[in-house]
Amino acid sequence: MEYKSVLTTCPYCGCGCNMFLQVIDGHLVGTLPSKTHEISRGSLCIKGWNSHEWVESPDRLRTPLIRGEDGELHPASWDEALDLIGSRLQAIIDDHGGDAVGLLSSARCTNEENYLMQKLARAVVGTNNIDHCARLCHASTVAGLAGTLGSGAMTNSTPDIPLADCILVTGSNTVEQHPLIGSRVILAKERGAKLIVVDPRETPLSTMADIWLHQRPGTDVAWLNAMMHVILREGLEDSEFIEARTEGFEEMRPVLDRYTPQVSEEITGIPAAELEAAARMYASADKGCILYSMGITQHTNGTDNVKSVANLALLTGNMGRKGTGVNPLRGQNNVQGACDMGALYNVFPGYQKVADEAARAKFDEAWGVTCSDVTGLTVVEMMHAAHDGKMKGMLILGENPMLSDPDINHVREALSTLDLLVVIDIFLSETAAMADIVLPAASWAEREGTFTATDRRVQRIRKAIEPVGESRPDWRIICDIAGRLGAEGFDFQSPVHIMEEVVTVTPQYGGIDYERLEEGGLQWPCPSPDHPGTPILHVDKFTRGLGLFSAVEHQEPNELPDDEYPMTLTTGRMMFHYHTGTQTRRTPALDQEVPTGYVELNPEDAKRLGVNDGQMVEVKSRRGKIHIPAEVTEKVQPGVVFIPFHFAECAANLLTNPALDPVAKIPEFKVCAVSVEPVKGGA
Amino acid sequence: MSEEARGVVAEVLAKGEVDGVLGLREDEGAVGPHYFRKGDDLDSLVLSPKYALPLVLRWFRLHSPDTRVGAVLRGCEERALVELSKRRQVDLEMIEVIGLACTAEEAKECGCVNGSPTNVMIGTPTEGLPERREFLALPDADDGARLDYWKAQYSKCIKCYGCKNVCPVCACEVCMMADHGWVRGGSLPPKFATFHLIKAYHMADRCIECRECEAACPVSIPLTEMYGRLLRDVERRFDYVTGADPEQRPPLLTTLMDEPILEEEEEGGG
Repeated sequence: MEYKSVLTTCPYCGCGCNMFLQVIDGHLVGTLPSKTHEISRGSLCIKGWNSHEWVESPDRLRTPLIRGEDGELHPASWDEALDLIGSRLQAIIDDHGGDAVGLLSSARCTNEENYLMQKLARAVVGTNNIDHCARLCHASTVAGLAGTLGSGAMTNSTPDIPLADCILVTGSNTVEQHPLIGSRVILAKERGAKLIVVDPRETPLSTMADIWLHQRPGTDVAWLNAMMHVILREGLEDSEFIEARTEGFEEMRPVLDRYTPQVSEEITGIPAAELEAAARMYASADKGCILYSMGITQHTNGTDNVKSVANLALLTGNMGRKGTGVNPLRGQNNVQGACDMGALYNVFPGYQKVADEAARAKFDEAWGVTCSDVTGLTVVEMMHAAHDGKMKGMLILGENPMLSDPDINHVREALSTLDLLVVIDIFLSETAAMADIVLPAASWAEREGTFTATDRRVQRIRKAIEPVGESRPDWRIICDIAGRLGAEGFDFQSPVHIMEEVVTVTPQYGGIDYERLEEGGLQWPCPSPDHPGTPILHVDKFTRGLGLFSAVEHQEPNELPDDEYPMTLTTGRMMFHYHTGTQTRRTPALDQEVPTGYVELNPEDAKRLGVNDGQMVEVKSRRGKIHIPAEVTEKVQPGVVFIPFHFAECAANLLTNPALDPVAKIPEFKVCAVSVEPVKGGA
Repeated sequence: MSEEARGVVAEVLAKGEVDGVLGLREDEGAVGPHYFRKGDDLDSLVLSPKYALPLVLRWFRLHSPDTRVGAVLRGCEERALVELSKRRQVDLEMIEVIGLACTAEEAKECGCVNGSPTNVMIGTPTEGLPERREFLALPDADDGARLDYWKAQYSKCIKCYGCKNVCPVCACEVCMMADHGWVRGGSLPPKFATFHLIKAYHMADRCIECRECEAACPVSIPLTEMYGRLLRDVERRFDYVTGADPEQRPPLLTTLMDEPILEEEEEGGG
C-alpha cells in the first residue's frame, strides 16, 4: 500500500485554504484540512472537503478531441491535435493578423499558466486580446482601486478581519462565497464586533447583522454617498487622516452635500434613519473593515461603486491598520493571480500598462519580440468581435463562457461563427462541446504551481496523483502550442522555471520563489528575496502616494423594469456549487444538496402571479427565456428575483444584460428586467 | 518526546511486523498525517497537533484491507478504533497501536477524563485526571433559555459537514444528515432540530470525546458539550462506556427489546 498526504491549496474560492489530499495507491480517497495553516486552521467548507470527488470522474477528458467532417468530436493524438492547432492558428495570423485571435485565460489555473497564456498572446500571436473571467467579477475593483489607492487588491489580510470593531459587508454573501472568511465574520460578531450588511437579498450574515439595509439593486452609490453625508454632518470623519493621507476631498464634498439620507431613501428605498444609524456605527468604530464583492462590482457603474466604497474608508481613516481596509473578496482560487500575471487586455504582468511605452520596451527586451500597442479586447468585446466576423479564432483555457458570460444566446452565435475554436479543459463543458479542437488538461490535483488567494497570498499547489488519461498540465499544453507556432522562450521544464521568469518581470512578485513558498504563503508586494511580504497595504503611504477621493454620482442601471418586464433579476452563486458547475455538479455530496437551479420569488409576487413553491415558471428577458422551479422565499424583496448561475438547464445568463461599465467593461449581471409567469401545464 | 517517538517507531518498523507506521510529519511548514516506512528518515516525525488518524486507518482498511499497519495513537484515538471495530470499519488485528500518552497540559486543554492508550510506548501517562468531565455551565433549561443557547450556537452553522467528515467514529454508509427526508437540501443554516440533533443522536453511543469536530468547526460550535451530555446519559442508562471494550455492543445498534433501559431507581434517581 502506498499512502500519501499531499499538502495543497483548495481549488475553489479565493480564501486560499490549505488541505491534505489523501492518496492511496495513486487514487484520491479523501481530504483533510490543514490544522497548521493560517487560513484553514483545521476547517474547510463543504466544497473544499469534497474537492477530491470529481477529480477521477469518468467524465474527465482523457484524450484530445478533433471535430471531424461528420460534425462530431473524435479522439485524436496529441501530435495530431497540436499540429492542427498550430497550422490553423498560424493561417489565421498570416491571413488576418494577430488581432483576429482572442485568448481567454483562466482564474482556475495557476499563476505560471496565466503568465504563459498572456505571453503566448503578446509574444507569439501578437495581440493584446487576452482576458479572463476577472472581467466578469472584479474588473471594476482592479480599475477603481488602482485609481484611488494605487493597487486593485484587498488592502488587508484574511486573518486580521476578526480584529475589526465593525464589519461592513456589502454585495458579498460572504458565508456562502468565501466560507472561511464568512466564518471569521461570524466569530467576530459573536465576540462583540458590530456587523452591518447592505444587500438587497437576505444572506446568512444579514440575518445576524446589527443592521441590515436592503437597497434596491443598482443604487449603491446613493447609499454610500449618503452614509458619507451623515458622517460629515455629524463630524465623524477622520480629519487628520484626510489632511495627511488623501487628496480630492474638497472636490468630492459638494457632491456628498446633495446626498442627504432622504435623497438616498428615494433612490435606494433604505429608510433614512436606518442609514444614519449604520453610518454612525461604521464611522465610530476604531477599526472599521469593509468587505465587498460582486454586488458592488457587477454593474454598469461598477467602477464608480468601488470608488465610492474606497471614499468611505478614506473618509474614516480606515486604512493601513489591522482590522480595517477595503477588502474586495476575489471569487476564484486564482483570480487575483490571473490579474497579477497580466491575463488582462491592457496590462502586462504586475499591472504594467500596455499603453506605456517604457513597459512595452521592457517586455520587448525580456521576450525578444515587439509587443503590439493596439489595445486588446475584453471578454464581452471578444464575443462581439466574433459575432461581427472580425475575430476568427479563439483559444479558451479553462473557461466556460457558454454559461458564465451574459446573454448566452449571443455567445453561442459568436462562437459558432469562428473559423477556429480551441478549448483546453478538464471536462467537456458547454463551451468545449462547441470547439473544433479540445485538449484535455490535468486537474489541480495532478500538477504543480501557485495560486494567489484573495489577500494576495501566493501559495503552492502540489501534484497528488498522475494526470488522468492522457491529460497534461495546462502549462505544458500552452508551451506546446507556442512551439507549434514556432515560438522560442517556451521551453520550460516545470512551473518552477516559469516562476523564475515571472519574478524577473513582475515587481510585486520579485522575491517569490518555490523554496520560500515551502515555508508557507507570501503576500505580495514581495519585491525582493529578503522581503517578508506585505499583509497590509498602504500602511504609511498609499501605493499611488495619496489616497484619492472621487466625486461619484448615482446612475441608474442600464435596464430597468417596465410594463413588459416588470421585475428585477439579480444573479449570483451559492454555497454548494461553484460557477458553471463542471466540478461541483459532478460531486455527489454537493449535487445531492442542490441538484438544479431555482428562482427565488417573494411570497407577495408569488401570490400575485399565482405561483406555488416548487412550481415551474418561465422567466423571460429581452435576450432569452428559461423554465425554472420557483422557490418562494422572503430572502428576496418584492419585485426582485434571484437566480444562481451555475445550472445549464436553467441558465441565468440566457437572461442577463451584457451592457458594460465603460471603464472596467464588466457586464451588469446584478440587474436586468425580466417577467415571470407560471409555465402552462407546469406542476 | 518526538525524539523518543522516533526511536519507538524505528523499532516497530525494524521488527517488520507492519507495512508502515501512520503518524504525523512536519514538512513544508505544515504538520499532517504521514506513512513512515522502514528505512525512512524519521527526523520529520512529530506528535502534534492531533489529526484524526483513525479516519485515515479506516481509509486504509477500505482500500487495502490486507495491509497490517502501525499507528501512533493517543488514548481517544485508540478508543475510536474500538468503536470503529464494533461497526466493522477497522480490523484491530491489522493495526499495531503505538500508544502515545498526552502530556498533562494537553490532557487539561482537552478536558480529558479518559486517559492514555492501553499500551503507552511514548510519553508518560498523566496521573490524576478529573473523575468526571466538566461541562460548560449552560443557561437554565426550564424557561427555554438553554434551547435559545443551542439555537444561537447552531445558527452559526455553515453546513460544511466538517464535524461529520472529520469524526473518527462517523461511519454510516448513508449519512442521515444529508437525507432530504430529514433535512432540506441546500438550506443554510440547516435546521437545528434535524441536522444537528441527528448527528448528536448518532454520537450518543460512539463519541469518544476527541474533540476533532470542534477543532474542524469553522464557527466554534461547542459540539462535544452536546455529545458529552448525551454520552453520560447513555453511560448511565445502559451502563455503556464508549471505546472501552471491543466486545460490548453499542446499545443504540441493538433493539431496545433485548437491552432494556436500566430502571431509574437502580441508578439512584438519575
